[in-house]
Amino acid sequence: MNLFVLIAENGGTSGRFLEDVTPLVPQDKIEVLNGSLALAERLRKPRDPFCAVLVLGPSHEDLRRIISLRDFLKDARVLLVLGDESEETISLAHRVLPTYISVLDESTSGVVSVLKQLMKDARVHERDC
Amino acid sequence: MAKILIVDDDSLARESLARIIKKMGHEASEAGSVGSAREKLKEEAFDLVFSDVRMPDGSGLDLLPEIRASSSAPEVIIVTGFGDPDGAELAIKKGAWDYIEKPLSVKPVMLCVERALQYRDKKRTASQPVALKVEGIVGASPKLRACLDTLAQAASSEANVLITGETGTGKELFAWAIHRNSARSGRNFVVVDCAALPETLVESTLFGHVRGAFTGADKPRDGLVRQADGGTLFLDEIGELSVSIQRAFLRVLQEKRFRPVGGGQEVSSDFRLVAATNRHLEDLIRAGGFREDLLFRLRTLALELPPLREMKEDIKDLMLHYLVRFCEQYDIPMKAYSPDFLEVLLNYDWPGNIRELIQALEKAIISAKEEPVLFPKHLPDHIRIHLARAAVLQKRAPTPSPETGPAAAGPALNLKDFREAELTRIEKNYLSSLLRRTNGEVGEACRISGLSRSRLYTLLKKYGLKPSG
Repeated sequence: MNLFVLIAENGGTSGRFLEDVTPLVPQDKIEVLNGSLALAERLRKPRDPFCAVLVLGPSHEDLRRIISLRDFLKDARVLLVLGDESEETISLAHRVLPTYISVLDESTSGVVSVLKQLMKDARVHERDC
Repeated sequence: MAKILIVDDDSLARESLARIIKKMGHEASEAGSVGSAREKLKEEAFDLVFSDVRMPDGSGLDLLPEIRASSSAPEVIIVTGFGDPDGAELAIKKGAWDYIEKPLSVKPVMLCVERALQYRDKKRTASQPVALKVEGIVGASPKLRACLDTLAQAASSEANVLITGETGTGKELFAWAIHRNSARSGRNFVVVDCAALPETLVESTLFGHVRGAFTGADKPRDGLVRQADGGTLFLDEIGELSVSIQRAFLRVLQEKRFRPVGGGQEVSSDFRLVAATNRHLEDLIRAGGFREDLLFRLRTLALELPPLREMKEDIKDLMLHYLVRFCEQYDIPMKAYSPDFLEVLLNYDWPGNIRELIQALEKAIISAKEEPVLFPKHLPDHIRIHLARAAVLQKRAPTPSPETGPAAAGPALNLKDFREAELTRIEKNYLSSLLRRTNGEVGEACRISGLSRSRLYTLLKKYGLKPSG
């Protein structure tokens, strides 16, 4: 399973999320991307059938861009770590159809446990195939 | 005056039904076989169809989706002489208006006709042509069209919807389309991925928490149920929810009020619920893994998405749609495809459904690189191997039977092929004796075999076996 970690412009304080998820995924499967344009570029290249995208601190503009990429994100699990929980941010976040939403000033444990679950599911799927 | 078609191979039954219909002032037309019914449906528009179940050239139940999909989309009343409750269930599931048993008596038939025609009239006056927003839903098969009808019905109501279907059939896509076409489309569509949420996270994710509710809860947070206020809450893979969360959720569903984790005050949320699962919830209920009262609440409206192998006529449209999409995505010129490429897609059974087809097409486009035409060799190996093996098996052991089974071929087959052919033979024998033992009672056959109803029907179809009715 590929993990793309998108560090957005507002993701300044997101280092601890990156630190905590890095050990979960094999090194060759994790890619850190800077900004939503880099994500759009990356999605134009082949990837594993199972893939997760962790978005750290997206701006509204980033969220809009990710929404526009939704067609390319089918079957990818998106985990959003938002910078704030304003009504507009939450509303945009849900339009991404994310698997999980957290916020930057919250503990990383939620994101880590969801990612572990996704990794487990991906392994089962790969084994069954 | 309505036009009513009677499909029955029994001419006496046809005639007596036609007499009742004419007496009611309607026009009756008759077909003595499935084939003749198909012809009539192509030529004329009907308001109502009475169809027998068992006919020499096919089953009225199999004809049902075609009748519903014909241009006049008549209502259907299934008639049978075999008194099969499972057939009745299947008829209703496939969209029949009603189900009556032979011998037919005048009053029930008249009542049934009257009600069906009343319903059709009301439906006609109430339904205004509305363009559904169905981005991503591709195809025009009768089964897909029936799903879109239910989607439209769901979108125009506030009822809870339960979407079922095998993995990869597009349950989330349909849930999203229901929201997009509903009066709630301006508010949030909130996805709860029950399979991805570890047990420890589910409660606070759904209901939120107050400050200090647990270690690390430094701030209060709204849960997903609250965020769905005014919009739609989509519980994906609801079969994965623990029984304790089901209990809590049932209360929320009834009262639209809940208490955040660690909180003393109740919070309200006016959400509309759409749930989806690939599990057989009835089986889960029997095993104690799902609450029956929650299932009743969930499936006010049920939408069952068929597997791709039952909608093979949509494969070409899906292929073209995704070829265009992937060529755009990878920024490469549009690729053509060879006839045998399409043939392979049509012959494969797609156990992973549309999702597997999409992944196979993406893999084919990537494998083809600069080549302008897609050939079967560009498809994933497992698909080509599966078809090659099936072809070899068909040639070597065309009709395995107890008398001539593959054992007779013995070492002419390799071990894998031999094992597969033997399993096929054993499975068919098992199902035949199961039907004999249960007199074709599907419910009893499910109980003994431990198979779900849909799995049993799939296997019976595979081996050309028929339950009673």
